[in-house]
Amino acid sequence: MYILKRNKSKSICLVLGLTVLVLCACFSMCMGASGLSFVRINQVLHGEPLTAVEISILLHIRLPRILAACLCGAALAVSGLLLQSALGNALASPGTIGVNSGAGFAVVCSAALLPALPFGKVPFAFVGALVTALTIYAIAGKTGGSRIAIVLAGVAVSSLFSAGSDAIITLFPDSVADRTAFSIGGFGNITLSSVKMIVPFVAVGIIGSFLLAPYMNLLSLGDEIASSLGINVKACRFIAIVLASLLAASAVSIAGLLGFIGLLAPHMVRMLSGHDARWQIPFSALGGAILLLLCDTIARTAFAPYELPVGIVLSFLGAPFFLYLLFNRKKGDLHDSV
Amino acid sequence: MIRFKNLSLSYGKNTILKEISSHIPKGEFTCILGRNGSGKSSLLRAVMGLIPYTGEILLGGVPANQLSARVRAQQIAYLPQSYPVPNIDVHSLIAHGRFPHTGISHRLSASDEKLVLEAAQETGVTHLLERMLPSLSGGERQRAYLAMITAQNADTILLDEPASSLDISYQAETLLLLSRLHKRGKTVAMVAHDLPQAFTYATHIILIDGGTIRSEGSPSEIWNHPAIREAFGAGLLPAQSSDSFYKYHLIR
Repeated sequence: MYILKRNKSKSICLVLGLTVLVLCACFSMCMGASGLSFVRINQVLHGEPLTAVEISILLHIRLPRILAACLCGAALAVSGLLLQSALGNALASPGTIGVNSGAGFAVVCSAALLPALPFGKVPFAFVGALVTALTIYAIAGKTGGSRIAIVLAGVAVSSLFSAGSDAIITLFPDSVADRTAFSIGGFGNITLSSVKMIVPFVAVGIIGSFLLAPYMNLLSLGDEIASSLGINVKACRFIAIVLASLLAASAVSIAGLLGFIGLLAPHMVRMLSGHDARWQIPFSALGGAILLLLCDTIARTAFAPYELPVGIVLSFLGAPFFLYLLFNRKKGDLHDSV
Repeated sequence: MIRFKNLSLSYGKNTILKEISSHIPKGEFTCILGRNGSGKSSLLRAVMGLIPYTGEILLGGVPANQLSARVRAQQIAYLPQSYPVPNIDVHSLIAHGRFPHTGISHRLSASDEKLVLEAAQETGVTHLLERMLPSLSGGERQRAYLAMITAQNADTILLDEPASSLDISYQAETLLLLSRLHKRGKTVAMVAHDLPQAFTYATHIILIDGGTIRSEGSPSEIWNHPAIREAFGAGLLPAQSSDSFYKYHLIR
């Protein structure tokens, strides 16, 4: 594993990553089931005007979707990183430990019982995510931080909340627009206003994570050493869980239960960012945004005119990676390398 | 100086220490001795606020539980017996020792960086600075952690059996490093279970047995105290030869 040691190299890498993200966004804007092929884009660049339909497709369908993929990818990746640090468990992510399911259950409840709330679904999703994350944290404390116990507890909690969500959706079919897309995760019904709704929450979550980063670095030294270096370990873990819940809740409230992105992105970028949380956070955010954007572009173009929920593509990538983490890494590495 | 007043420690219904009153003298190299489970490690953990206790622990005259974690970390460095091995390089580990002294951004200043390099030099890990912790041997890793607490530059250093899992050469290196820190005016207190080692390097001994302090004083004052034999089933005899590795031998 090659770790870029010098901060300058990491800065250059981040700038390159941002460039890749912009290129991916441009690519994604050009790709889709209807019109606007590369040939058409070339014509537009040579002065031919866009039609009203094309403008509508770009501004009302593709742009919100691209923005949502970037925001949700960044939010879920940083959420995964925070949970891995707080729980000392490299298998933790909002999907694997049930935080997404908790948030999803709260979203479905709020949509079914209080459908006309003016301030959106994020606060409800946040409460659901936080309750789930704190439950898993308490279980982690009881089991001595065993990574398998945490994941199994996540499976149980996730199943419970998924069953609850399914029950409510069955009783209140109008609570979600697309049941499948919500359960697997997808951007089929994204609008610009729903994207705007989560921007402040994602911003707060990511800025808060930056502020917490120096403390997260100490958590990797174990509770006793971290505490002896002057941090309040419990408070630090609690804040990490709150921020992770807020970020996951933001994503779930507009995209449903997107799995694996919070697991894949932090691990994939760790090869470049190293293990300093101050670098891991921007790298994870960028990696998550790029990954989800690419997966969504594949999901909506691979079988055009049919469209897959992006969660299916993520599962094809994430499930084998999860198994790789579970079986092929050295014992202890999963706990220590987060 | 760290002073204990009527200090009691319990795990559930099991009382480990019963109302002990003693102190770790300022500027001394103190070894805390006792059998396994006698409460010597717990004593250090109580000082660091890691476990609850009844009674009082005073750090420089101030109750320990009234100090913030940051102020405590500026005064006392602590190395537990076991710790995780995160995937970070040695330089980053040592730099963590400066955390209690950094500002709100927690970035290292030039003087912090200088102290990090000095600590690396002092502990002989300069050549390992770019190596990742998991790639080091146990002894090298221990030295890296010792460098971290040296960089912390606290007046008091507490260590829980810092040499117990090392081979004889690393044990000697570790104890010589602690002796050097002590000679520079640091207060050093470590939990140990090797009697000849403790009586050779320490200037002050605290012997804990049966939940109480059975004996304390300088090695020359207490080497033949009956409590040692009662606690360990072995005694000590001053070494006659100047070639001897330790100042005292273990005898039946």
